[in-house]
Amino acid sequence: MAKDDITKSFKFIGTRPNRPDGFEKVTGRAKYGADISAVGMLHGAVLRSPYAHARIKSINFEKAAKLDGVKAIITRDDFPKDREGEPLKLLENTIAGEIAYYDGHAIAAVAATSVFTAKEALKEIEVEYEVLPHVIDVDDAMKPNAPIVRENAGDFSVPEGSSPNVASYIEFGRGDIAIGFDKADIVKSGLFKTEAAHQGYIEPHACMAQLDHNGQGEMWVCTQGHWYIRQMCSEVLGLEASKLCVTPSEIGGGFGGKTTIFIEPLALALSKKSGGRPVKIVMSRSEVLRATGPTASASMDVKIGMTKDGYLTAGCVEFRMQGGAFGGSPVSEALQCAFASYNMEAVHHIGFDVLANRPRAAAYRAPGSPMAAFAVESLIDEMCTDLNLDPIDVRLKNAVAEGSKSSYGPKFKKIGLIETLEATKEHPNYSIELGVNQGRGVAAGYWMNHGGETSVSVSLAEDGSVNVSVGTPDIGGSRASIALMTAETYGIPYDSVRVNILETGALGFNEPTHGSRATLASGKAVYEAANQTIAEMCRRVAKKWQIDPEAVYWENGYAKPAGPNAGDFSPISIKQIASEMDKTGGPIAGHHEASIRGVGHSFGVHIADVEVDPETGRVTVLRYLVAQDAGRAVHPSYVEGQFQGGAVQGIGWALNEEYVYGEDGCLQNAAFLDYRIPVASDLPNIDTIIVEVPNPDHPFGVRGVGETGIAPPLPALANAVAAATKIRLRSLPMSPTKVLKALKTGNDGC
Amino acid sequence: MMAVNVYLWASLKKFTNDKDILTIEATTIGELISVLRRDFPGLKPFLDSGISFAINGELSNPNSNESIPDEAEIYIMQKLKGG
Repeated sequence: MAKDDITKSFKFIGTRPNRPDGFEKVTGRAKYGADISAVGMLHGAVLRSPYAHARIKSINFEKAAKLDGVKAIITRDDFPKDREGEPLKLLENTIAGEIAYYDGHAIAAVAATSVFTAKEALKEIEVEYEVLPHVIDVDDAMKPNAPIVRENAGDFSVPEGSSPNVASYIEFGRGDIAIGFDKADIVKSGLFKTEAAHQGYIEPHACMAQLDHNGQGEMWVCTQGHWYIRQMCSEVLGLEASKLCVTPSEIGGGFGGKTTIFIEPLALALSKKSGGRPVKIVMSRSEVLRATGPTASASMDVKIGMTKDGYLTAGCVEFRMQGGAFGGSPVSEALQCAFASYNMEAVHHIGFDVLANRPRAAAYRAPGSPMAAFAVESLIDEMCTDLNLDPIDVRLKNAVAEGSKSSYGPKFKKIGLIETLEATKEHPNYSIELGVNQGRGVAAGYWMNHGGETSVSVSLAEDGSVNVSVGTPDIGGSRASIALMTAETYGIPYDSVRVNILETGALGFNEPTHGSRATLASGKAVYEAANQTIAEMCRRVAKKWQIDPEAVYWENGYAKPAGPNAGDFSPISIKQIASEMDKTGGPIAGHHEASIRGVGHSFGVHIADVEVDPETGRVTVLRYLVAQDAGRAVHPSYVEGQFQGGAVQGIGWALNEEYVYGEDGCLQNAAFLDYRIPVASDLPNIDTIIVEVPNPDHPFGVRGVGETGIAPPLPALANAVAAATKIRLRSLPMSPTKVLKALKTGNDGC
Repeated sequence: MMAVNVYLWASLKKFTNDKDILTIEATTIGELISVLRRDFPGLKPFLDSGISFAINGELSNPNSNESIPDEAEIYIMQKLKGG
């Protein structure tokens, strides 16, 4: 039941029909990135740096070029030399120039008539390297004598005297911190660390590209945002954007990692050099882990003040996050999320985006929020334990609500943190008795959500069914949610709506499916476009009835006279109107383009119960609860799926996942056997509570649900482990090795 | 022309005469950005780097044609990234 004043009753919103793309996906018919092929297609392969930091002294590919079947070989020399700013960083990350900045950095690429030949050719390319000093850890990178990753990489924001590896700096806050801490009965501080984690999408990056000598080309690619791919590839290669048509495939997971480019410009350049033949590149899992964009690793200092009855009085954070060799850690978002759940008079935030010899960080589900939540929610839990206070009651005392000034400034509109905390407290999981070596952890999390640039169209088919065209790839059930909102708007069956995800030439610019925005933004745009067609249908019916258009209204799939004064007419169905379109003025279609407003902030609260094996250090998750304010659950099953998916990724990040580098700066665990994401047998059922405090600025109350769910698991599990062991781990992941060490020595992992 | 309060993150104070709250006369976001560029040229790299706005609590991409409501409270932040 929605906890608000909106009393609308819906016919389709809130139901759970099968997803329109489900049959194709479970039968293997759906086409993913690697599934496309074309006549004359070549296969690409990429040579990658075996060093963490090395000057490229020479590249000799004479032998490789002579191999039978090799059609093109590219190096950085095949790319424009006049790029600067962000396009230069994108290009540098795509293919190294004079210096390879991380293990796995692309050095050259080959297109050949077979994958085998392309890979054989890579072995014949001779590269002479001069190995340079490297730095991997974020705190090491900020030390005075650390190897410099890239000279003069700091931007306008970096204070004088900072480490040369600081790429950007941010600071903000409000209130008097000293007074805030003076008001506290207890002040605690701590250092918290998280390791880089990968999004772990099952489908590796794949694309097929074709580019003619005149700069006209096409691309098929698995991506969250094909307009971003077009824009970035055009900037990197110096193409006119409109000449490159990018079509998204189905996508086997992205979670933020597929919002930027890696292999795509290489495939285009190979195609051009081979005379315009299509070139397909499919990454291996090892390449995905070594050379795409994991999230940042973090080192975080936190200090919080609390009164003895649980009111937060002040908070300070300093977050240092490495975002790879080209910067881009989500440190500003992390700072915005750090204290966002709580009313605090005095807060102060400092953040450093730090370079290291690692691949450039990409977005990962609520970028920055999980690390921030780990640090802040862990420390709050310690204080609750010290003061013997209930952790949910403390959060309720401090929770932000409508009108609260967020910790980063803007006031919140209607939000649902309090309702979510209350729902969590009432759930049976919060009162189940625990056994020996077991513990319970609670944590909250926040994500601001996003609207973004959006373009859609809606058209009536001649039989009264409806085509919806959007530019946001379906990564979590958005076809279903958009179809439901369309059906609700028209009052026609869900099955009468088909949602298509179109290529870049067919709609205006669309931001990717990121920021939890697809259902919110495309849904809002589709609602506007559909209402354009409804208005047109009413106009045509009005002409037929020879009355004013204002005297016709739309209800449940029919145009109807607005009242007795409008005249006595039988309602006309959408089917009939559509069947007569060719005789009443032609096609009926609507479209809407906007930077979508009306974003609804999202809060979640999780409860984790764990058991810690004192002999092995293994943490078993016994039960897990996700409660989150969805605004309105358009398709509750897919909302629950997002909640559960976020929780599972957070559990993996908390307990096992980490990038492990050797002394040589090379990644040691570039395979799923060694980079341990959770599998079904590692997990309990993830219980969910969908809280609905509708977003008043969305026609159906939607907030967006994709990201918040990954923030609370890190601290919830840390808090549960602390409750079970009486030892606070301040470093993730809480792997068996680390937990066992903590049990033996009391070491907090930092 | 009305004046609005523009809130900047403290790390930008070095470009704004040590102020993190600026009173700017502007009726649209475009005018606001123009005034910031004119009066505080040190902000240019920040404004060019990609920014987001919060106008009376509502987060959005910059829209130069957007009217600023009376007595609006405007926060300028780095462009938000999402996963």
